[in-house]
Amino acid sequence: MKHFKFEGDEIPFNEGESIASALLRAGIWQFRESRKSQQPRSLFCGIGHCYDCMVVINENINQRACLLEAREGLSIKRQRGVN
Amino acid sequence: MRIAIVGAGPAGIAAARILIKYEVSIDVYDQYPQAGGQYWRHRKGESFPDTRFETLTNHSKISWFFDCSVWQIESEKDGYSIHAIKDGKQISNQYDSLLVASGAVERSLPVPGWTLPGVMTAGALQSLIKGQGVVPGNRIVIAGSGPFLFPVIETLQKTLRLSNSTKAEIVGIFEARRLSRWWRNSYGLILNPDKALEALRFLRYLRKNKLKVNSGRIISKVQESKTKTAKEIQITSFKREKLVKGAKDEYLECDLIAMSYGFTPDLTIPSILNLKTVNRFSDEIVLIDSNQRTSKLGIWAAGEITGIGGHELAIREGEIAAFDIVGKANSLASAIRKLDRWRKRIFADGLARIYKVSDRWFEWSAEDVIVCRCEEVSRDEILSSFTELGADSVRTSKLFTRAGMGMCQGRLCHRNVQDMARLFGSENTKTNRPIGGAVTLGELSD
Repeated sequence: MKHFKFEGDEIPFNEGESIASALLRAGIWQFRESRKSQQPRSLFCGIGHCYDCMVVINENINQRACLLEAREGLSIKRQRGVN
Repeated sequence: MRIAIVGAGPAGIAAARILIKYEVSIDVYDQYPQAGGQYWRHRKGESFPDTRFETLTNHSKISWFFDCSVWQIESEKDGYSIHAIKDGKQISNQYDSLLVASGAVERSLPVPGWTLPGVMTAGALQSLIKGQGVVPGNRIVIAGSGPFLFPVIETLQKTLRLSNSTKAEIVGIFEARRLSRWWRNSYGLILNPDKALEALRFLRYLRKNKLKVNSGRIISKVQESKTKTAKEIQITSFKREKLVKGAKDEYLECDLIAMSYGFTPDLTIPSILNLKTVNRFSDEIVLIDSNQRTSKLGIWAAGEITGIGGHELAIREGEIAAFDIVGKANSLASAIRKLDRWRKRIFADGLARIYKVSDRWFEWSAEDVIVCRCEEVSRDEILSSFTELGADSVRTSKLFTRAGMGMCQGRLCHRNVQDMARLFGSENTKTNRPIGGAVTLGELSD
């Protein structure tokens, strides 16, 4: 099985799976912290509308985990503060 | 003739299936990686969920622009130019005619705790199951109001039964409205016996699987766990469009809550085109004539943006628009579809009468509940922008409170703030956004 990194941990994923789906299967619910009150956020609408599942992928901010396919070797971090 | 279809869901695909029979070139734009829209969402590599449209996806007469975000459409001397971003690059193409079929977004109602991880829209759960084959969570609750809860329950239950390894289960189903309200759709049921049978078949499915729908109940709060995820819900009685607060509240432990209050048209594309809209069941919808023509010459609209009605109605509307685009509006084929559209519209309107969210939902929701999730603006901050600061529209309230100014650009909160704006006297609640999606300056500068 292929893997990507989330906050340093190896997360396995199926071919064609979204990043959000792989994280949820691994039991990881918190994708980012809200900007004002630093509260945890996760996947909400699942189809790219709500931008609540934003993560930092290879240093690029505001990437929607529900839309983007997982790929080998990606380095993903929780998004804090920005939006 | 060059035709562009914006949206590869049921309406757009149905239109394409008619158009390929004529001497026209067809480009289809969609922000997702494959055809089908939300309704026919399927896993990569799986065959198209509806066999009627299977052969279209690799038809030589159609050019597909997937993963493509249309951010601007300009009027030209004789047609329209579509500007879109694909793979980080700008593409621009000119067309004689446009069909806008950009669909709907799910409606959510704010409830304390709805921003917690573990709470998602019913559509999100449906897309995780259908698109990814994943069911997150173990104790699952489905709640809200409307017919969309039915297919979500069925998809979820079927998936749970298939995978014996998972210990996940549905622990509660809560529907705000009672079944008795279906008399409001009696005319629609008589005209659409297929739909009546579908409803009966679903009720039988529930009974067979020992699933109980608790009607007249609504989630009034989601409690958080130590790790700040959803842990428990508070369930309150819902009568005459209001919460009945008091002793009868129940509590239920759960870790995944899928909520839905139906759908509302996504007017992002219609608003960059400045198409005329009208109010229907409190939703702003694109104004069309009997051939699906909009207020602008050369632009047609079909599907959910012309009024929520489901995929079968969207197919008919797409087909009727397609016949008119190629000058066959008076054909028998078009007339037959118009009759069918009339029958399906009556059913859809009946559903709206049963399940329409009250325009005054905010009167019974909590004062400090977050309405704009992106900018974390509460119900009372938005209400006081109208009552104290003198805001008179969604737009002015946004300038005072930042509600709708975050990353989602109001896609989630606009419809909810609109209800408040209408109460305080403003008819001007039109979506007013000149750009159709999130675009970076870098992508535009290339």
